[in-house]
Amino acid sequence: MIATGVNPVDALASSLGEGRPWAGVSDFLSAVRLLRKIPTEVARSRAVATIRVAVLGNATTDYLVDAIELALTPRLACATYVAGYDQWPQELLASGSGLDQFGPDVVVLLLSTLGLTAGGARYDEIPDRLVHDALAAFAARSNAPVVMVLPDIPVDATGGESAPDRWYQRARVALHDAAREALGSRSVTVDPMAVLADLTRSWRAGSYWGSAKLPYHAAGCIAVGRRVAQTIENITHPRVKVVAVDCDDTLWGGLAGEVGPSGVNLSPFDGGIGHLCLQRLLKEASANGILLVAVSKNEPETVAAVFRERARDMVLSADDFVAFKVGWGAKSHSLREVAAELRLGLDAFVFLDDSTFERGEVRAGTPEVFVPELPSNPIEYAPFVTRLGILERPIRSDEDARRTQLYQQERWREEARTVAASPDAYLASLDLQLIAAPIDDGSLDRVAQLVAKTNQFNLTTRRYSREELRALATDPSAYTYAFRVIDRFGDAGLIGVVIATTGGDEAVLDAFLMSCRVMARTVEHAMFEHLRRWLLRGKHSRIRASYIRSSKNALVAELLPQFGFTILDASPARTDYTREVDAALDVRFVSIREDS
Amino acid sequence: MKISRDEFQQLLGEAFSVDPSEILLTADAEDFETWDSLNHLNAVVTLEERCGVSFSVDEIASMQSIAQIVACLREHGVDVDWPV
Repeated sequence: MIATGVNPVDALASSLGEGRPWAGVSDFLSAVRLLRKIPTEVARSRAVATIRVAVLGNATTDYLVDAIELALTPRLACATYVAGYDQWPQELLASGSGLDQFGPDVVVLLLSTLGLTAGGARYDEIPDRLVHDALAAFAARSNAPVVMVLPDIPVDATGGESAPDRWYQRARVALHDAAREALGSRSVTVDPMAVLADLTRSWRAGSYWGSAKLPYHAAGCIAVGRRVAQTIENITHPRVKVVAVDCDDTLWGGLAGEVGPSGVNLSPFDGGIGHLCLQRLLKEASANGILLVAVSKNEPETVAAVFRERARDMVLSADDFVAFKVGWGAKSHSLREVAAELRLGLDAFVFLDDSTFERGEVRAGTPEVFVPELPSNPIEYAPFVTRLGILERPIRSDEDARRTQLYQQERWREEARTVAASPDAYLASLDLQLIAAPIDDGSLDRVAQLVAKTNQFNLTTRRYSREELRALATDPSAYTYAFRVIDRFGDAGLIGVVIATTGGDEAVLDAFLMSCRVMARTVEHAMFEHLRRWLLRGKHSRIRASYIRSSKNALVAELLPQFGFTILDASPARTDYTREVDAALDVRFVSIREDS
Repeated sequence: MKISRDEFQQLLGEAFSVDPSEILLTADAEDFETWDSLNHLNAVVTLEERCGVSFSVDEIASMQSIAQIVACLREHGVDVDWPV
């Protein structure tokens, strides 16, 4: 039961605490009632973002929608649009539909088996063609990713070769492929069975399909809604960027310091299997761009020796980790250190440790870190962490796949910085190269991602849709460049975007943004210098620019004066500047190249 | 299986967003503006969960008054401790 009579925000927060909330449907309904009492402005002001979620489907989606919203609360606030029952084809196909007017960030499309088979009365049709055409039509009008909930196992499936079984096997594949073909990487499917199979009660709709067109029992709708919420969070605002993981009795069985590298349990035939499964899960997370940090109380050589001497028995290798924090200090101190080194907030960390003591120490010392109660049985580690839903990356860029490498290079640079005699000597030693390339279809995805996500090093925080970017990129009077940086440690990837529009002899700097991971290397000066040379060639004599203040971009408040701009006009919200094009900028530490 | 009058009224009061004291044997769907199809569903699901029973489609459709809900529960061996 949930306390009433107190402030709904606090009451809801306490009901959403540790572990599994909503033991039953009535608990869930009480939580939803509290959620409804929280004014929209309050929910939005407490959230890191508000996301617009549209839910379409061939069944009643009320419980599903409430569960999505509740599961995202309070970190993300939701604006929802719920399409009419079975209206998904019209909504997706017709330009100007309610869905279009709503303008979703994410679309959820529920295709339940009962809805597709007239309640289980007919197994003769799979609407993969319609799904493909409807999603393709929608994709031409919107960038929103679509989370499609696949059919559930038919109530009269035998597990053999009956008509429902054959329909089910084909429908899952055909619908998955149809969505993938229509949407490419923006298609994400969720198999509801992964969570329905875990319910202790039957998830079957039973009478509720006939009475209310529920796709599953209310408890099933709620479980699937929570699962979909995890996917939505992981697509739009992933909570966890770093997994800090203990070694002894977490990554392997036993204490390496006592039993030596050869003695730790990594055997797939007994207790080692749970540790290996956790390693496999973390290996996948690392490939998805989540950073791994080993945090262990040991001599550094003890841990290094396990990775070296047991390499053949392990799934993870030392290269999968962005940092090793091995020593005898408090683990919360190690986490603070590594957060500073990676320039990431502690709220982006999850900490996995078998020891109750260490979990308690980290909770007390770094309360921002997410510290789940790892089960005591190692065989439960991987399934438990999976169900937290924080390591899934349904949509990933090439950048995500290389992230560990990028951060490793950054740490080598840090080390070089500490040995260099002076800041200038250090910058000179990096051998920095800026590679400029006009934005094109090949870079559009990464450019759109950078434009959408860069908050700090961003002069105007102007967001552009892919269509707007594409239109600007084909406009010959506009300067639309994306920049990569390479130094002697490696390729930092696409890190900057600059957009300027021109008219007559004057230009306006519309967007100037850069990834924070290449800060303090004068790269931004080189980016501006590249623009300046382009304007000079185009016989433009003057450029105007503005710093538009946001809650996060104080970092660049003084950037334009550094580029030689002078103030035209200043207000608390923005400062407008101007500059002659002809004076060159000093970029002696960075060589600028045009990508051919 | 037994469910007390207080708990029954509390449970349906929450489902229909009304004061538990308004849950009377004489009340029916017409009496509450909040007795819409979704709250009806909430009431049925909550009762099933609390009492460990499972209703048929026709029974769910028939539950259009408090008295009918009590009668349906009795059919399934759940006694609402409330003299009729």
